Amino acid sequence: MKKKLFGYVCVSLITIAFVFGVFTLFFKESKELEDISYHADNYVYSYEELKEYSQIIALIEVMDNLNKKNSEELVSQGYTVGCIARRQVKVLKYFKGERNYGNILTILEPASIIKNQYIHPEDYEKLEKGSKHLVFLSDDTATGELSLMSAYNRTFDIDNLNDIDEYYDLAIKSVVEYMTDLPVEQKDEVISADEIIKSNNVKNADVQTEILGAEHDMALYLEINADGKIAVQIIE
Amino acid sequence: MITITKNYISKKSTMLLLVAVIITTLMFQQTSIAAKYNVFKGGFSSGSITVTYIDGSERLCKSAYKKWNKISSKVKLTKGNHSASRRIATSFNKIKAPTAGKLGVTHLSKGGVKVDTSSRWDTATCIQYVNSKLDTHDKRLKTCVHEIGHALSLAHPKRSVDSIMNQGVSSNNNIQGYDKSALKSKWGK
Repeated sequence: MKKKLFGYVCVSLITIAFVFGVFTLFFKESKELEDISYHADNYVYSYEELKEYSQIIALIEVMDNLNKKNSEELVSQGYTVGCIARRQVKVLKYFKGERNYGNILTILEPASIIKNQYIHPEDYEKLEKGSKHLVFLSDDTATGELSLMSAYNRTFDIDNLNDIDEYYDLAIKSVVEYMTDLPVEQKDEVISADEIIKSNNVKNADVQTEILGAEHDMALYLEINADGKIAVQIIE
Repeated sequence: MITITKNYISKKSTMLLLVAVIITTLMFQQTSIAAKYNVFKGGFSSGSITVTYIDGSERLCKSAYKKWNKISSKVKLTKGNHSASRRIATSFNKIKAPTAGKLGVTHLSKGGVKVDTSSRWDTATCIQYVNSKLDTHDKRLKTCVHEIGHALSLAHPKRSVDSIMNQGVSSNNNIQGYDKSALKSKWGK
């Protein structure tokens, strides 16, 4: 009886220690990450170039978290010459390149977790597990693997379009082209617009449309001005 | 006697007020300079820095770092080796871009540990990647000069201005007026 009780106590203690250990390790890794942002020089693609040079344009859902295992530091003679991560994504819809690739892709992103440091370019936020993005991917990389093009906002988090500041015009043009049911003429009008302005107050919307495939109901209001400028408001 | 004291106090107060105004103006000027030019909070401990190359083009390395000399009397870049206490290590036109569209990058570290742009660093590793968009010597040199600018604490400009620190491809690899002023605001004249 005493032996049995002793056994139960031991098993319980080991289980508690194991759970505590796993929790501590997980918490430690996520809590103690030091944020290291660096400056990089990227090619600034126009919308037409993004479409032309990408092998894939797709709506994807991120399947994993950025972690030490999927991160890689590229080193030459003791110096860091690149930091990347290989991320698993599920393609929800292809807009370009469907024939050559499957539904699960491994893509490179310019961020990594190495030695408890989260290393990323300035203004670039790592892909979060479960988030949906409209992405432009190219295999013009050192290893020939697919990667996000130019990193900076060439991935558009479709559920948080209002948070996009830089390259907002590219985000709206791609969302209008691939994720709305607008007639071709209206899409062309947006794509060829000289300027797209983020607005909180589109009073006289010339065009109103739903954003397809977003997590929540999202509507796009467009006010097309005579001078080629388009004011945009996105309402959830 | 009372009049003399009053005059004395009045003069003393005026002087104090004047000094306060001058100090406030100078502080404002410093703040506005910092806001005018986008520079990193961190940087090398001194502008006397050794440039060494990891691999790739030595010619590009030499042409790029020399452009940053003779702008500020506090910044002097000279060719040296990997053991220097403050060094810029370059890899120009050797490694293919790991991700699409990337032209160059600068990683900063101190004692072998990566640091961010608000810290003090002793090593800056500047890379200009092999990229089909950089198809001429002038375009490659622009990226090399840009990356060394980062090593010297210059950030990407936040406003529209002619600058070598703007992102993207350009055949113009000359350091612009904005860049010279930004370097001086960081390091001194």
